[in-house]
Amino acid sequence: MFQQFLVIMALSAAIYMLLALGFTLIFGVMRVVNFAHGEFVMLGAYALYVVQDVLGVGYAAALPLAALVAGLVGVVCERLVFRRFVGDEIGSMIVALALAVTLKGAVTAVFGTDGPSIARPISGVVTLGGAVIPKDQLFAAAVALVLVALTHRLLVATRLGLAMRAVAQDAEAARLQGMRPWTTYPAAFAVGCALAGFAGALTAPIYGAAPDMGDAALMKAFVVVVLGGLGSIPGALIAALLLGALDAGISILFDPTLAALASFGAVIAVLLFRPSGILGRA
Amino acid sequence: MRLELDSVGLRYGPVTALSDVTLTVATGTTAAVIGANGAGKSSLLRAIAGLEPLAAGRIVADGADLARLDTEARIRLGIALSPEGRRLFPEMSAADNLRAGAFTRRAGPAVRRDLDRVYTLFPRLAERRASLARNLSGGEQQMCAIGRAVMSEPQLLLLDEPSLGLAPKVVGDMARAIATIAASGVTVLLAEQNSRLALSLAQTGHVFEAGRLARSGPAAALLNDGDVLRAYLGEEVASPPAGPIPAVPLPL
Amino acid sequence: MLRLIRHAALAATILSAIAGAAGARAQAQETLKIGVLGTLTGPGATWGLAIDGGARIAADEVNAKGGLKVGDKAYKVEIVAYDDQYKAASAVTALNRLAGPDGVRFVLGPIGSASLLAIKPITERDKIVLFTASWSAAVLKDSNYIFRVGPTTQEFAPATIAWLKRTHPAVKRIATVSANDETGWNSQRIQKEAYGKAGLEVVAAEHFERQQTDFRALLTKLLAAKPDSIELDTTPPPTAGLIIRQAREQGYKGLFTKFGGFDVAEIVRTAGADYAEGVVGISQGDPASPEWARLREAYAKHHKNEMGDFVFLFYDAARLLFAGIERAGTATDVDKVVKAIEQSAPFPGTVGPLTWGGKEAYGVDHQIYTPLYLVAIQEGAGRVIGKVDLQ
Repeated sequence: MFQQFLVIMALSAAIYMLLALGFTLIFGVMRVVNFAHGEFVMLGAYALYVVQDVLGVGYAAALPLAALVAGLVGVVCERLVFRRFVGDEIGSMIVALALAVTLKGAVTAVFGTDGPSIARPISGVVTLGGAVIPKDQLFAAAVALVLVALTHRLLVATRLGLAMRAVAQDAEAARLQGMRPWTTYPAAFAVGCALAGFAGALTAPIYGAAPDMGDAALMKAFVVVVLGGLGSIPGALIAALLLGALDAGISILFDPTLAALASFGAVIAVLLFRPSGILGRA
Repeated sequence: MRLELDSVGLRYGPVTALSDVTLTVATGTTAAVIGANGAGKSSLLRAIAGLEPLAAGRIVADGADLARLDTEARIRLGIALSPEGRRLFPEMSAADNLRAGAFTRRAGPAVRRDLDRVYTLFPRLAERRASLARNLSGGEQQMCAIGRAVMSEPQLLLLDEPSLGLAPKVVGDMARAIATIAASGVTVLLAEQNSRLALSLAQTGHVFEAGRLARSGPAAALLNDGDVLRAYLGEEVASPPAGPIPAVPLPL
Repeated sequence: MLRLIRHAALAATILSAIAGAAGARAQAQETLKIGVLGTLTGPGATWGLAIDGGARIAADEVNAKGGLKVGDKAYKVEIVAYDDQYKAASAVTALNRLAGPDGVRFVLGPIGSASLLAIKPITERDKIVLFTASWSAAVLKDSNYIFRVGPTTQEFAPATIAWLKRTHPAVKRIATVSANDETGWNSQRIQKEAYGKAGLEVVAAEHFERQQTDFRALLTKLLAAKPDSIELDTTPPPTAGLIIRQAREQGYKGLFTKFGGFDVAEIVRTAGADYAEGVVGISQGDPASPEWARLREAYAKHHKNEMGDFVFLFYDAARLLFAGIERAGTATDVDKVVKAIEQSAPFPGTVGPLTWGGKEAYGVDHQIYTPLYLVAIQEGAGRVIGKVDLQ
C-alpha cells in the first residue's frame, strides 16, 4: 500500500505542478490573479476533444494543438481584458471571475452540460514493486514534468524568459533595459494559459471533460500556489509535492474529504505562520 | 553622443519639477548635475530616459528629437540610465542582471567582451556573480547597477546618485570606475548630491536649485568656488577624494 | 464603455419586445406555468435534464391536445426551469423566483436532498406542490405538498439485494462508495443496513467529494478490504464510470452494482465499454422497449444528451399532476389538487401502474411505487436482466 501511495503522490504532484505553474507565472509577471485559470484547463480539454475526436487528429499532435488553442484564447483575453488590470490584484480577480463564468457559459452553450466522449489514446497499466501505475497517468505525469522543465529553461535561458522575470520584478527597470512590458505580458499570459491547456488536454482522456471541471483545477492550483508563495515557481513545485503527499496519504488512511480539509488547513496554517508561502517573499 | 536640452519643463500634477532647463553635454564628456535633494536631478535624468513626459521644451540626442521615442526606443538609441535606488532585479543573480542590461543586443563575442570588462572594472562583482541581487551589499549592488547600464553599450550614460549610501572607501572605487567608463568615450551625465565627487569627475557642472538650472560652468571653476558650494549645496558631508582621479585604461 | 451600455440597452429593448409579442399571443389562451427545479449543469445534470425533459414531453403532449382542461377553461402549459447547481442556496433562490415573480404553484424537482431540505419550509408555507426524486428519508416527513415520484434506496434496496443474493451466490463481501453529502450518507446508511440484513458483510464504506475525479487513493484503501462486489449507490453516473475504470485498472476483478440512479450511456462514456461490461444497475424503464424509444425521440427535441431513465419518472409525474389538476377542476386551489392526486392511484404509468405508499416510513402516503428493472451493461448497452416489483 505504501508503494501505491508513492505512485499516487508522484503522479498527482506532477499534474499539480503543471496546474500551478501557469497560474503562478501569470501572477508573478503581471500581478494578475487569474481566477479563470481553471477555465483555460477546461478549454484545453475541450480543444483536445475537438481536435482529436471531431477532426480526427492523432493524440500526439492534438495535445500541443489543444494547448495552443488555450494559449491563443489567453492572448485574446489579455488584450481585451487583463491588460487594463496589470498590477491591480483585486480588479483582476473580479474580471477573471467574470471571464471564468463567461468561458464556462460559452462552452456549455456550444457543447452542452454533459462532458464529451474523449477517446483514450493510452490504456493499460504497468506494475512496479507491487504498485499499479496506469500508463495514461504515467504519460500525463511525464509530459507534465517535461513541460515544467521546459518552462524553467524558457525562464532562465531565453531572452523572453529574462524579460518575463525582469518585468515581474521591476517593470520600470525592465523598460530601462529596453524590454517592452506590453509585449512581455501577453507572452507570459499565453505561456501560462498554454500550460493550463496542456494540463486540461493531458487529463481529459483520463478523467473526462465537463464545463465545470475548471473549478477543481483552480482549487488545486490555488492551494499549491498559496502554499508555495504567490509568484514563486520553486515554491509551487515543492508545494505540489506536499499537496500530492497530503492528498494521497490522507485519502488512503482516512478519506478524501479529510484530505481536502487538510489541504485547506495547510493553506490556513501557512497564511497564519508564513503569510508569504513556503518560498515566497512578502 | 551629444545631448542638448532646450527649455525643458516637467510637472508632476500641479508640482513643477523642472522648468526652462537648457544645457548641452558634448560628445565624450562628463557633465555633473549637482544640487540639493529635490532640486530636480532625478527628474532630469528620468526625462532624458523617457520615463517622464515633458511639459515643455525638447531633448535632442545627436541632432534627433527624442520626443516621439519611448524609453525602450531610447535605450536602443544608446541611452542608458542607472536609476536612483539602483533598481536591480532583486530575485535575479548579479550575472542575470548584467545579462538583462544587454537585452537589446544580440548575444555574441561583443557582449561577452563587455561582460569581462564589467568584471574587470568591478572584481568584487565577478566573485559575487551567482548571488541574488537582493543579497548583495550596497556597494556591490551599485557596481551591478552601473555594470548593467554599461552592458547595453551606451553612448550616453545617465548615473543617478551612484555614491548614495556607500562607505567612503567604496565611493572612491566607484569614482575610479566611473572615470574609467568615461575615459572609454561614453558621454556621462552624473547626478550627485556629493558635488565635490561629481565635479572632480566632470568637465562641466550644472547646479540645480528647485527645478531650475541655477548655474553652469567648467567643473574645475565650480569646484574652486567656495561660494557656490556653500550657497547652493550647504555643508558637504563626504570629504572629496584626494587629488584628481586617475582613469584606469580598459583592456580592449 | 458607453457604447457597450448602449448596445446592451438596445438588446434588452429588442428582447422585451419579442417577449411582449410572445406574451400577447399566449394571452389568447391562458397559460399555466409549471416549474422545473433541477441540476442542469455539472455531474448531476443527467438527472436534472431528465426532470426538465420529462416535464416538457408531457407538456408538449397536453398542449398538442389543446391544453389542460380545467373546468370550462383550457390552459396552455409552460415549463419554467431553473438550475440549482446541486446547491441548497441556489435551490432556495430558484424556488423563491418560481413562487414569487413567476407565480408557479406546481414544481417538478429537485433531485439533491440538500436542495430539497432547504426549500421544504417554503413549499409547506407557500403551499407549493412539489414532485421530487430526492432520496432523503426526511423529504416526506410531515409534508403535505411534497410527492416523491421514484422509489428510493429505502424502497428498493431489500428487493435489489435479494435479487443479487439469488443470482450471485458467490458474492459475500461488499464495499460501498457514495458522495459525501446528504444524499450519499443517507443512501449508504440504508444500503449498509439492507446488505447486513441480507447476511452480506460490508467490508468498506467510503465517501468522496462531489467534484473529485481521481479515486485511486480511495480505491487503494477500499480494494485492500478485498470486496467481491462494489456498490456504487447514488454516485452520479459519470463519476461512477471513473471509479469503475480506475478500480479495474488497479486490478479489481469483482462485480459492480449501482443500485441507485443508473445511466448506461454516461457510465459507458466515462468508464469505457470494456471496463463497464457487466456492471449491474437499476432502471425505471427497459431501454429495448417501444416506450423508451418513443420518449427518447421526444426527449431529443429538447436536450442534446442521451436520455436517462429518470425521464420516465418525471414524465409520469407531470402526467399525474396534469390529471390531478383536471380532476380537481382547479389550477389555483392547491389543496384540492393534492387531494385529487392522492385519490388517483393506481395511475397508469408508462411501464406499469403507479401506487401510493410510505405512511409507515414517512407518516404520509406520498411515496409513489413503480416497477423497477435490473439492467446489466453488455457491450456498451443496457440489457434488462430482471424486474422487481416493489412494495
